[in-house]
Amino acid sequence: MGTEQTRSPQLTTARLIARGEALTDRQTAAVAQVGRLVRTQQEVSRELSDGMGTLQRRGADVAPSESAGLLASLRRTFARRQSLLQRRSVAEELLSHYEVANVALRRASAFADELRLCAVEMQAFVDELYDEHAVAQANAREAAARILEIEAEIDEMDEGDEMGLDARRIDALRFEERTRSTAVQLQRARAALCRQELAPARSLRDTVLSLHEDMAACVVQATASVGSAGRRIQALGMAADAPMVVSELRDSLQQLDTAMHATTVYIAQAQDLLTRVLPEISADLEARTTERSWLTDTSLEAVEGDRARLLADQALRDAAAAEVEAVGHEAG
Amino acid sequence: MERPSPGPYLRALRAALRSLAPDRDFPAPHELDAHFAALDPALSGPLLLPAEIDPDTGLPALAWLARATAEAAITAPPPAAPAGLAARDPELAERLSARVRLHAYLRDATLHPPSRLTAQIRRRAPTEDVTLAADRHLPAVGFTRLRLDLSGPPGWSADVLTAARDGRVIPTQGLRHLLARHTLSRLSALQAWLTGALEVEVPRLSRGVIGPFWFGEGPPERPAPFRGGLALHLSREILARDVRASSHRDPLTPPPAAPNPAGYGRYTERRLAVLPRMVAPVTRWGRGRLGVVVPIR
Repeated sequence: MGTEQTRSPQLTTARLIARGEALTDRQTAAVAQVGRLVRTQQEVSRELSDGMGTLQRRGADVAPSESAGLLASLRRTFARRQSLLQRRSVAEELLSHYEVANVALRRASAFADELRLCAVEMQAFVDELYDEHAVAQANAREAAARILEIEAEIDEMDEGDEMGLDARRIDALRFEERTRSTAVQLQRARAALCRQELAPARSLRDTVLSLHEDMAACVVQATASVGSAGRRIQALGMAADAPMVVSELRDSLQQLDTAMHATTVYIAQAQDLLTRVLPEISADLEARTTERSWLTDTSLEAVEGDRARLLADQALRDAAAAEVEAVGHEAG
Repeated sequence: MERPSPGPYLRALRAALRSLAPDRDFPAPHELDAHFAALDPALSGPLLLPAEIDPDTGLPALAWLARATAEAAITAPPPAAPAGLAARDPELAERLSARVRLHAYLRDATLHPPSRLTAQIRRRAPTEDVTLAADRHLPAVGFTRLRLDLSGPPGWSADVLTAARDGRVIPTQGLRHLLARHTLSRLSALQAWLTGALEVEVPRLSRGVIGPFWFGEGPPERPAPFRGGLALHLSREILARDVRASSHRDPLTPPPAAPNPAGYGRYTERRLAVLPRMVAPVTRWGRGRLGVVVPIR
């Protein structure tokens, strides 16, 4: 959104409609982006869950068979090549699964940053809407104040002589009044547009914020679990074949359970976002695009004297209400 | 254990490694250097923190190293920090910028893997000669390479090596796991065992270890000249037919009690990279029983 256009006093109906369409397009694109993020998040979470699951299963599965095999192997002579080459190193296998889990974790961590970036950008959009709303209110207030000045000036003049100086001045003032009235309407429509866009923008921002919070918590938990497994695997070192150490490893891998459970819950929540929350926001946006209620609420029909005064009064009341609301927000 | 600041710690470790210039008996120093550089917050910002150091060796722990390895496995380019983000969310802007920097670096860098076995066929006939290098990052030990020269009749390696389309020789999983289990086994036992199991000659075996890395005061049992300074250890053991006279140049480990296999000689040494001011006292402490003492530059 161009700041120049936002702050320009020369607001026309065409520009306002274009602005409305631009904001709607932006919101629609944002919904699509959030949809993509949610799908990516599901993939990343599943990958992470799978990686941790494999690590845990291998830790649990390998241990008993390997320990038994080891005890047996202590009694066995390594005379046959095939027998030697068929045995597996517990630590080597776990290390390989640990690497896979770690890649999934790093990807999840990078994705958490992407979500945060998206949330920050959406908050910037919300801020922009507030700024634009404030500018529209200020412009409307300024135009309304001028309308009241014009009315006061006209009231003091004599309209008797059709071609006299006062009549000419009144004619000019009437023209300015109508122009200003249109400006008030357009600025009020612009403010209404901003108010209308604010709700879905906030909703999307909060959606992404929730995604980020959940993902960040999930990554923190998984980092602790995978890190713990990594430290245990490293501590195994060459003692990987000792039954006691393998048993300890199994215990430590149980910690992965909690992280995996959190990831599963997270995937389910993300599914809810995809199937319920995002379609709702999307439908809402579509409905508003069709209605353009912000435009119809402030119809741009010809404005005559009394209506101009009414509009000016309304604009000033709106501005006063907005100020009261702002003070309320600051006090709160 | 003291917790050093990650940046200076890693830069000191890299300088010490460069000063020692490990050869082919050791894990590839350029890979370790690249790995340590990636961990440095000067490059990767907060992304790969917190630093985790193996308390036994003073070297970066697997969990810390694995973060860089995992980042290198992600091929999708990371998003750049958009303009103005630094003002809105400086922490996120720093992370995004660091990820872009790190991935640009990782595109051209080769990191040190936690475990790897490489093979090279040096000759096909009249004997088939193979060199194996098993690299492992071992806790309480350090970055370890077990290097084996094997020699047998033509075709003997078909059970344990496969040829890739690009001409590389790939060790089988079985061989990889076999050597992973025995990275620290006694070389003389390994020689006898491999000779019997694979029915090949093993004319040369070596084990090179990078580590430990001593810094700070350390435990009371640490020799006095090392306290309060820096020291990176490089130790090597060679058991080979071409070692004519055995020698043991490592004051920190006792000479092996077991006799060498018939026809083999053994050479063990410990090299050290220390702060320049420590070179003279450490050399004196070694009393001629040390390999080389070099200053860290």
